[in-house]
Parts: sequence; structure tokens; C-alpha cells
Amino acid sequence: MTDPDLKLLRAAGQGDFQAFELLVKRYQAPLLNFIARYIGDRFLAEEAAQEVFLKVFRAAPRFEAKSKVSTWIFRIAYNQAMTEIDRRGRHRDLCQTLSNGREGEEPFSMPGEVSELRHDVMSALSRLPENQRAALLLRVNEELSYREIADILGVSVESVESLLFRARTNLKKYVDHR
Amino acid sequence: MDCSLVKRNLSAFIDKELDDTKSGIVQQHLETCPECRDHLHEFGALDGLVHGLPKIDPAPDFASMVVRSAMSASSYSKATPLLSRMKTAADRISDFVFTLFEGEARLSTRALDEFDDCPPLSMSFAYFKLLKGVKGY
Repeated sequence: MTDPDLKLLRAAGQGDFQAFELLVKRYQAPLLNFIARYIGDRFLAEEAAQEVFLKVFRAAPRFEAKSKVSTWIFRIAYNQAMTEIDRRGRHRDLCQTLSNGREGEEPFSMPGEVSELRHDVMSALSRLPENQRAALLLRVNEELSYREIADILGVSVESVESLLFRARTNLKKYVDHR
Repeated sequence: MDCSLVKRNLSAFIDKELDDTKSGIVQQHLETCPECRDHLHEFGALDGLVHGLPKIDPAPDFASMVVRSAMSASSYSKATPLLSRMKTAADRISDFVFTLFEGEARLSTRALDEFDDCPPLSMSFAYFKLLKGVKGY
């Protein structure tokens, strides 16, 4: 099975900016949402997503096609998101960030009655250990296979199965207790 | 398979990542166990909530902004000779060191009549100011 993004990435690696722009447009929304939910800050996520795409562009000529392009891009994004979290300090309360946002603005606008439930879910999500949160987001939002998630997180498929089981169990516990 | 083992496999069952044999056993168990069925539905509902969280839309010019950054990074590294890049880097470092000692405000706002205090410092200040003027900052 051929990877539909491989041609674009190869062209981008040879300096084709139109191909690169198409690649960015294809991945900008999923990447931005993944990073924002992972680190809990949409503003930092935008900066991180830009940095991810620049890294993709720089590394494109060296891409060896050992994995799918999407997996490779998400692996760069995951590493970048971890760097952002490290930069901010690993013990910062992500829930606080989600609640307060920057300059009083909510990181995700949540109008109406459903906002409280969504807020509970986001808070619960932010309380998950980072690797469980990443696994859950990649599975539920991006619908990636366990093999792909394993490649992105740099762990075994069995570990992904365990991470997802614990992520769902913890999420359920946190939501139930609120 | 007992309930605790089934519950442990429910996550992979939802994701259709169990092999056929395990999946069949879990499916069979679910048909007769309301507790595990509830558990399965709860996992499914949570997935739905996570999936349904509000999405962020990238800024309309996000892609073009990224491409512009890539272009400038690419043209800078390809078209600029190594010596020139080293000179630019050295200029930036000297600027940085200078601002550390003098401060940006002094660099941009001090009047010429302030030069008559201490010759060595004034000389260096004037030198850098002239240098910056020549470079067109």
C-alpha cells in the first residue's frame, strides 16, 4: 500500500514549497489539536506546531520511509510537545492552564450547557499521565492503530494496549469523582 | 474468561485490536454479563466525549506563514555563503554583548552631549554607534 503523503514529502524535501504547503494544510488541524490537548495550551500549541512543520521540512530529505509519513510527523509533534512541557516545568498543573487560559481567555471556547461536562473531561484528561494522555488522544482523535501509536511513543504494542486501558480507567475514575 | 480479565481486554476490544480468538471470547462474555456490558458502554461514552471536545481551527494564514518561514530558512542556509553567515553570527554576538553592557535604551536615546564623561567608554560607545550606522541598523 502506498503512502499518499510520501510523494508530497519527497517533493518538499527537494525544495517544492507548494508540496510542502499542501502537506502543512493536510496536517495543521490534527497536529494543532493533538498538541493543544496534550500540553493544554492552544497558544503554545500554535508555536509548537509551527516548529514541528519546520522540523518536518528540514528533515524531509532524510526521511527513510520506514514508517508512514503521518506516523513520522506525529512522532516529531509528540517530541516537540514533550519539549514544551519540559520547558514549562513538568509539575505545572495543566488543569489550571485549561481553566484559566492566557489573559483570561479559555483555551477552548465552550458555549452552552455542555461546557461543564466538557470542562470536566478536559480536566480529567489533563490529570492523566502524559504517555496515557498521548496514547488516548492518538487513538480516539486520530484513530491510529496500536502499531502506529507504538512507533510514535517509542514503546511496544503491548505497552500501548496497557497505556490505553489505564488511560480509560483513570479517565472514568476522574470524571466519576467530579 | 472471568469479568476482571474481560474488563482488562475491553479497551483493546473497543479498538478492534484483539485477535479473533480473544475477541470472540470477550464478545461471548458480553452477551451474558450486564456488568461488563456497562463497562464497555462507559468506555465508549468516554471516547465519545474526548472525541467531541471542541476543535481548534488553525489561523487562516497558518500554512502560508509556515511556508514563508521554511522559505527564509531554506534560502538563508543555501544562498548565503558560510563566511557571510559566520560574519552575521559574529555581528549578532557583538551586538548582544554590547547591549549587555550598555543597554538598548542608551544605545538608541543618548544624546551626543553625554559623550564627554569618560573617554574610553564614550569611544567604544561611539565606535559601536558608528558601526551600526554604517551597517544601516
